[in-house]
Amino acid sequence: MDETRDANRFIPGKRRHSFLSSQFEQGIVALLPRLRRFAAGLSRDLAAGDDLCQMTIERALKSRDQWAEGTRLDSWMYRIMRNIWIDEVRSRARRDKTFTVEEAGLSIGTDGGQESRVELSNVDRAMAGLSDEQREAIMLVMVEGYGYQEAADIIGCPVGTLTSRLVRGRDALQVMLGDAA
Amino acid sequence: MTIDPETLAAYADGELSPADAAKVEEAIAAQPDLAKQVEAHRALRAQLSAHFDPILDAPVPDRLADLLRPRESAQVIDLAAVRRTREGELPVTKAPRTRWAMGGALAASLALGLVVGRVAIPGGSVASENGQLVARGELANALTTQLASAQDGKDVRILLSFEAKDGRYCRGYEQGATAGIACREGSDWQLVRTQSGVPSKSQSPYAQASSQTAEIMTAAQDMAAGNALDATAERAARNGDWTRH
Repeated sequence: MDETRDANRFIPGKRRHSFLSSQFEQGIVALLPRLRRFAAGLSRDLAAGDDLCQMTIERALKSRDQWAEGTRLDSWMYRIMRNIWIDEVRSRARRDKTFTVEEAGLSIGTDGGQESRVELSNVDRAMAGLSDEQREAIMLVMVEGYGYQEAADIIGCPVGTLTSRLVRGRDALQVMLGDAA
Repeated sequence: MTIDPETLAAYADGELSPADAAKVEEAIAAQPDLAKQVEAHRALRAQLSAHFDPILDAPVPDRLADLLRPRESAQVIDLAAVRRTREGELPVTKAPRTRWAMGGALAASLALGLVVGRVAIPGGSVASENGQLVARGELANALTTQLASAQDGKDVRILLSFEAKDGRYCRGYEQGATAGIACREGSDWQLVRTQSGVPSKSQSPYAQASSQTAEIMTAAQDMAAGNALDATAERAARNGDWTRH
């Protein structure tokens, strides 16, 4: 087709899916609660985590051809999410410097009510005290329940790197959370 | 026997082979301190789960679920047809124009649900820079790289690209329920017009999208110095990073 024939005519993207590949969408829908949990842990804020989820879904839909059917959709989605977070969100947050530990928090279920924030702040604060790499390792293994090899694959690092981040992060959390841990 | 912290963590996480696990258990039996460390590890895991797991039961926001619903099929955008409509017996009604946020940052903020001053903006696609709304993230990326003639399966849809009367390159786009026109300003895309598709009872989602598209095309006509860029000119503009020479 000669794209240049009619200067005024544009044919925007044809949506070739919606039916055939609805399994892909349904798979992501089923993962949404877990993706939200991981995103909230990475970004230390439920709303910011949902923004990260949205970017992740958008990227996944765009890159759907790169997902090999039969492989694990969850690992693939987690990998997209952590890459977006490391490459884009984190650097932007650092540049804007709007985030402080005090503002961050999950405040689940009460729309940011004071009480829940106080209640949850111990773990929030302790998680905020970790390096991003440690927090990511802790989330994947201790919250998301991935094995070391799976978690290392998602991050794209050697297993040894993953375990040392995990151990250091765990030690730091235990110190910050005191005997309660 | 000395057990290093990595091995102990691996034991607590169930990552060791049965043979290695047996060795660790032997060491634990002899050293109560190791047993305490394993216990602390498991307690921490339980505490983190108690903290994060409620998210699994929380309702998923519509804006996330909506991204994964099937959408309507493609439309062909024809600037000439828009012009004919404007000049012909079926003028585009003026009513929709009242929905334009005409460079008014505040109005646009409301339309986009933007909370100025926060890091995270719904969609992550808009930011406020020196009082101007600029595109970020997915949207900025699409505006910079995506061609209107090649955008299968993309979530931002470029409607057209054109040179504005003020000399800037501008692009009309749709992203979900939002549509607008962005113009290149330095390395940013300044959102000169934004429009949120407020669903109306009398319109199907398809009609809603179509009328929104028509409004963007109409506005583009007013701003454009000439015709919309064709595929070749659009590609050249993109390869020149949307800077006029």
